[in-house]
Amino acid sequence: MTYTAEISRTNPSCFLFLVDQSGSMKDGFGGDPSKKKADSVADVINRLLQNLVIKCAKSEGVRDYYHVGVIGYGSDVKPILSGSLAGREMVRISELAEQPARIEERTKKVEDGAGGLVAQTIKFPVWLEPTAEGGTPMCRSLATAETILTNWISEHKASFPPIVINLTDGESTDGDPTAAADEIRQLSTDDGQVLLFNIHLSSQQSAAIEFPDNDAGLPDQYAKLLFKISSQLPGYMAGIAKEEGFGVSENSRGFVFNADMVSLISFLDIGTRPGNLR
Amino acid sequence: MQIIARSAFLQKAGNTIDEYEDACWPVDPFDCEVTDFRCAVADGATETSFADVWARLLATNFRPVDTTDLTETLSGLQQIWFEQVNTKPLPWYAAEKLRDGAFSTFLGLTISEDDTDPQSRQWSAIAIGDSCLFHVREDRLVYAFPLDSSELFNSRPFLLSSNPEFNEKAIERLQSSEGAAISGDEFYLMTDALACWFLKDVENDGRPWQTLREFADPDQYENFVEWISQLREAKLIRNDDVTLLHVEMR
Repeated sequence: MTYTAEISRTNPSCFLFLVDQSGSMKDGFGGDPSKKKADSVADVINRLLQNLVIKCAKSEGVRDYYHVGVIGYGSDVKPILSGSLAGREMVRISELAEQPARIEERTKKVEDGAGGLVAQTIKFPVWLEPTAEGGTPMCRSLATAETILTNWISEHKASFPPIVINLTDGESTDGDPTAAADEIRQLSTDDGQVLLFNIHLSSQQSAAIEFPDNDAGLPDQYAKLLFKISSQLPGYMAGIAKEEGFGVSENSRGFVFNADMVSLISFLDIGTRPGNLR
Repeated sequence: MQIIARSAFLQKAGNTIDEYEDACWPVDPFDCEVTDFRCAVADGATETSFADVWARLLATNFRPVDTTDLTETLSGLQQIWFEQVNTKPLPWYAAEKLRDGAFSTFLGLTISEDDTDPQSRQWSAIAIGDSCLFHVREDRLVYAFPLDSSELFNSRPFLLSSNPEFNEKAIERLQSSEGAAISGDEFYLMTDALACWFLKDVENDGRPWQTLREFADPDQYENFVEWISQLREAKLIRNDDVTLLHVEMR
């Protein structure tokens, strides 16, 4: 059976985020100018990393159940964690915990238990800063991912397979990414093949197409291409998606087209919820 | 009545004993004449903070209470939990996690002699989550509580929280049961990994209590560890903390 390996400190799993940092990421979701896609994506990934750290935190420290990499592709293709983790292709979750680039303090209004509200200071660690410049060298970014994962897998043969999540708002500008994507999906651990999920971030005011199981309803060749290079959701993940209210079938792929912020957050949550974390 | 209670437990494979997050009460072998006896097991949720501390507080402080008093009882324990874990400045991630609190399953059993008829005994139990009680009489399983099928175990049971904000739904889901007990009856309390194995064995016409009765003997602890390791290797039991409390009533 695949995708059942227990995620543990001896057999950690890994997430590799590929983040489109092209010029068009300056635009807002669905054309809404109030918040740039680049800012929203950075925020969402920072929150996701924060939640992953907290999930792995125990009384004695943070357990390295996960390794994480974040690669940006725009005017260049390179790792984009900032601060003391800058330049690192893959880091352990405990390193993320100990070395955020900075910690923002934000106030949140919470109920004080007596019918009123009180300001509470919450710490928001930041590892990723938004950037939006250049083209969309998706092929190069996928090739970089393949190299990183080949190395990682050689040291973690028994682990739950790595999950690659590609966040993009437009078409590749360095060629057809199919071959590079296929190379990634051919990689495997003993527990199954590497999963490649794609989320396309919307520039238009149209409904998101979430976890499709065929390309018939997809609006254009580009959407069909991204569908083709997306892995099917493993069984437990499809179960999570169903619990969250998504209509999924056994052939549903880890792919969302025209995602807005809400879609993006759900997608990342489902894609990173552990099946078998102890 | 004479109560003989013995426990056996083992942390998840890959963890140290300090990382064991279940709890049971009593821990040490118990063999006494009593009119009332209380015992419990609890399974701290591993993704939560200081779950072991919370599970131990719940198990060791179990008293039969009305559900209406439960919120107040829990509130006292929640306060103790917070004081025990909040002893030094914590890094940002630990402070966040502490705010969410610890979560645990709970199963408590009380056995009492009837005031008017000392030969007559009653048992009562409360449970939240998937730690289970199995009542065995004359080599037969007569009752399983709160789960009675191996299919019912999933990774998201209801749990009691050390943070009062999260307990409303859990308290609604608290289950209770009771019944008569006679001399010679045995009660097996265990957390989910072993409980699921137990029920699977019963579903395959096995008598798992015969094995567990032997392994609850403290002199058999090494054999117990070996046996659990074999079950884990053969994937017959999920790799998780294992806790067994065997109670015999005479």
